[in-house]
Amino acid sequence: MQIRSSKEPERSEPDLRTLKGLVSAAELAEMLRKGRRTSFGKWRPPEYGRWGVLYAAASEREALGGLKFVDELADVKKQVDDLSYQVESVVSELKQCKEGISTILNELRGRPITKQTELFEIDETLELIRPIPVVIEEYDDEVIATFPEIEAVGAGLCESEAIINLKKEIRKIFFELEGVSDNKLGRLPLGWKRVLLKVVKKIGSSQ
Amino acid sequence: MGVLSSFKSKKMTSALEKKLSLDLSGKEPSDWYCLDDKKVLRVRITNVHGSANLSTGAAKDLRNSLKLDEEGLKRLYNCPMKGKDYENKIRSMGYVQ
Repeated sequence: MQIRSSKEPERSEPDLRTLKGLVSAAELAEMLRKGRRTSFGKWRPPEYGRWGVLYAAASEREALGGLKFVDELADVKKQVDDLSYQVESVVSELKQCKEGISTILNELRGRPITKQTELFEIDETLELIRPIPVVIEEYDDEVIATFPEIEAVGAGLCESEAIINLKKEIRKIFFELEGVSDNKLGRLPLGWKRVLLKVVKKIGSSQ
Repeated sequence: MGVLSSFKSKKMTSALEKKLSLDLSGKEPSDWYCLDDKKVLRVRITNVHGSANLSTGAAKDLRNSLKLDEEGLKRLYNCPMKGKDYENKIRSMGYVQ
């Protein structure tokens, strides 16, 4: 986190550190003699008058003490300004963090719990030559079972229902592709057909 | 998640049937998207609830089967992507050999 210096002094505010230099011993004596605001004279910027700590000063020592106090106050003010800026930065960063966490939580809520299993059987018409890998995705309100290699998907309210529907889908795709010549299939279905012929063996009719 | 879960089942089915000339009737709607007399993609809507809105899983599956990203599915669902636009996209992706 970058911490920058306090904000620039306002134009109407004098730099308090220069005030001490501005009040030389001779000037101070003159000011103490006059004891009022007018001691600054017309040639001085009128806004300097607002730092009139000397007005009620009874002696040079007291006046210098007042100037010192003003310097200290100025330092404190700068520190408070710095602190204020830092707090603003921290609040801003916390706000960004909060938004980020909220986004991540929404993403996570949309993501399913995923696990893998295998199919060992389809139905009385198709025999599996070897087990089929299946990806199970559990959403809040449904379960999706997928055989990714042929993009076969079964959905259900629970895992078993999703798997049953996936089996139906695999069977459907098999019989939809089985009798179709390869030149009538696009790149993807042709690949699915090849995969199915390697993992599934027909043992009954589609009816 | 926000976009994927905001599709109306009927509107989506209607858009796909009209733009891609599919028949998505029946309990387990699926059909082949054909180009040049070839079966190119298998499009399905697995809306397990039969609810008005497509579930997140069904929308994701549909998106995968159509080979579209979230924005593409949204464009197909709404007016911007026409049937011809989709055909050009699928051809450019090399799914028709």
